[in-house]
Amino acid sequence: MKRLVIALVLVMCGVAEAHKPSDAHLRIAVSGSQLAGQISIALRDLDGALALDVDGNGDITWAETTAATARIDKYVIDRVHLADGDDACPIALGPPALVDLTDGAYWTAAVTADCPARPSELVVTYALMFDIDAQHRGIVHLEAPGMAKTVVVRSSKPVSIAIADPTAFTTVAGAGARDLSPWPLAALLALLVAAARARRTRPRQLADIVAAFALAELAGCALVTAGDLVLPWGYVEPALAALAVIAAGAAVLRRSGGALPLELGFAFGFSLAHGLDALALPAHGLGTVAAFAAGALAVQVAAAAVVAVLVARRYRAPAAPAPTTP
Amino acid sequence: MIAVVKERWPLLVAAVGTAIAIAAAAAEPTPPAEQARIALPTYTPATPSASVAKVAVRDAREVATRSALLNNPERVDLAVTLARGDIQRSRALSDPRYLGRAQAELARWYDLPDPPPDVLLLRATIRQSLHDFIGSRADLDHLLERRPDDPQAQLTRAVVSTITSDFPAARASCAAVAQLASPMIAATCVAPIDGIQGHADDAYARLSAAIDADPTADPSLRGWSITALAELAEMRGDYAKATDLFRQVLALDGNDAYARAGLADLLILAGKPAEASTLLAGRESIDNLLVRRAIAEHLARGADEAKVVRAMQDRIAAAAERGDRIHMREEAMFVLRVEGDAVRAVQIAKDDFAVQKEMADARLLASCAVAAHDAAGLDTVRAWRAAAGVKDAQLDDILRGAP
Repeated sequence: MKRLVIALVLVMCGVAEAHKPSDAHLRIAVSGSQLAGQISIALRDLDGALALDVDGNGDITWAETTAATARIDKYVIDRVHLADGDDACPIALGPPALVDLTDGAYWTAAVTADCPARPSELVVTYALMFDIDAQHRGIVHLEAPGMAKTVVVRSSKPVSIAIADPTAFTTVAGAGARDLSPWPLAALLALLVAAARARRTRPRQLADIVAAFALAELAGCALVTAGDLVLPWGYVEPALAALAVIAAGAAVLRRSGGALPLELGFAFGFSLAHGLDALALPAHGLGTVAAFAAGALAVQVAAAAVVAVLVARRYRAPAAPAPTTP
Repeated sequence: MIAVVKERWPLLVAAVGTAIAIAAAAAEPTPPAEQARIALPTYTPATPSASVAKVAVRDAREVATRSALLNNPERVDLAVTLARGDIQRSRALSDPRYLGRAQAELARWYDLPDPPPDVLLLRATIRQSLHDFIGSRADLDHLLERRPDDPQAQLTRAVVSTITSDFPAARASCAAVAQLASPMIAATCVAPIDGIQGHADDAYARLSAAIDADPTADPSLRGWSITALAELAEMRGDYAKATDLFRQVLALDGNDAYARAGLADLLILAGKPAEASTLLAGRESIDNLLVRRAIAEHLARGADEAKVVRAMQDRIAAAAERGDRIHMREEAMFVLRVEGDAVRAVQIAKDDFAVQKEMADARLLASCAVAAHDAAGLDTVRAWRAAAGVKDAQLDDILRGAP
């Protein structure tokens, strides 16, 4: 019968499931070549690995936890490795603290690591607990500019996480194309329509307007970005919207004002700068500005080209009068 | 080049030139890494003596066995002893961590196609707990080819087969258990199968008599049998008797979370959510009880509603972060009855029913399907009910309201 009582306990062990099995959390933010974040391991798990409960009374105290700091740090440093490909990024741990998660208190410490360069492929080797708990998971949360990724690590095999270069030309240009504000586009199209209605519709003239607008926009954006100016966007955006409306009004009233493209373009450079700033890139030089502007301007020029063709047909410049025969 | 640029070239040159000059001068350093942005909020206890976590009390025999295994890693008997202890601990503390520990203790043999019989039995038990019922059943069938008279293996096989609706296999295992154990154990083994297959009245009479005839049985065995009896009473629609029986089980063992959950369900069904909430208060570390407390507080508009609802949401998110989906029953209950999203709940209930088919899973799928007007979900439950010959008072009530 004794044997069957044991059997019963084994059979019924699935019926009262508490919370989740064991896991630990490694949260890392990548900023250039520096990695910084936090590691959190359940105290109950650390007790299984390192016997924190020194007196064995079933109650882990904060004193027992802090007394084990050196052993815990060594356990973590020996078993968690970060690398950029083959180049190690040695980690350092901050002082111990606690964090409360859904299944109780976790030991936690700040993690910092320096890589030789900005990592393009972060290799995480995580080997905590697997030898004592086969259901343990390492939950690695990685954030880098423009990306956030969570990987669940199930064994001590290294895991590679690709980190895209957020300042790569194609990435930034793509962002520029996607983030384009409607106002500069509206203003540019208004300029084209106004010019067409003023009978200045030769393709060369329309191209002049687009080129002037785009160059001035680039200049405005570069000026704001390189000067690290913080524009009060709450005021600037309505002002730019008003400008676009005025440009449209001018187009309707046939008062294009031949010199407007430069001024308008320069003003809408602020909008471009705001879009670039919103990407929160780790660093931006002129190359980043050029890439972002290239993406945005490509969209503007493409849209302008379509409109230019349409308005050129609608408002064809009058042909020179044919010489009359006396 | 162009007329407009000709007119305004000084401005353009000045602007672009200034920009390039400033950009070249301001080659910005990389800003410092932002640890605070990604870190979870931390704290340190005010006093060194503050208790920060509870673990199992150290057992000197266990420590000695662990040390012996370390020196003799090939000793399967030591590994089995430790693993068995951890599985019992996972049950006693309602902590699934110890299942992972048991698996790690058996690691040397765990992935072998033909491990030693004792390892096979424990592997089947761990797999059952992780809801890998197919893997568990395969291990048990394999083990019983080698040890047909193993009562633990037969009893576990009966449970796993019932969950997966393989009733002939479950009955065969219970018949084997009847040859190896007391009439009360035999009657308890077959009770859920009889109940699901429409014979709850007969099963109730037999089990009730068997329990009465064995008054000196071990309290944990008795609690198990009375729990099975309570579930039969529930199937028969005798909710007052079922409530009384679950209270008897809790009197035998106040930490029996399964019986407490069953009693809470009946109180909620009877329109007494505040009473159910009181029954569950302070036991929220167990998911089965937290989800019911969240439902009870929600229905009763209790003071702890926001807190326990938030806790359950966090619990579901934490399980999802691991990639686990073994608490689908709790999740579907919560989504239906607290979040009120019947469409999502019925999807989760369908996924749950695909894995396990206990009475509770069928009732839940039916409730979700009725609420979501999901014909496919209703068809699934009706087909299962017809195939197994199920008679259940609650399921009948739920389906009566279905289109």
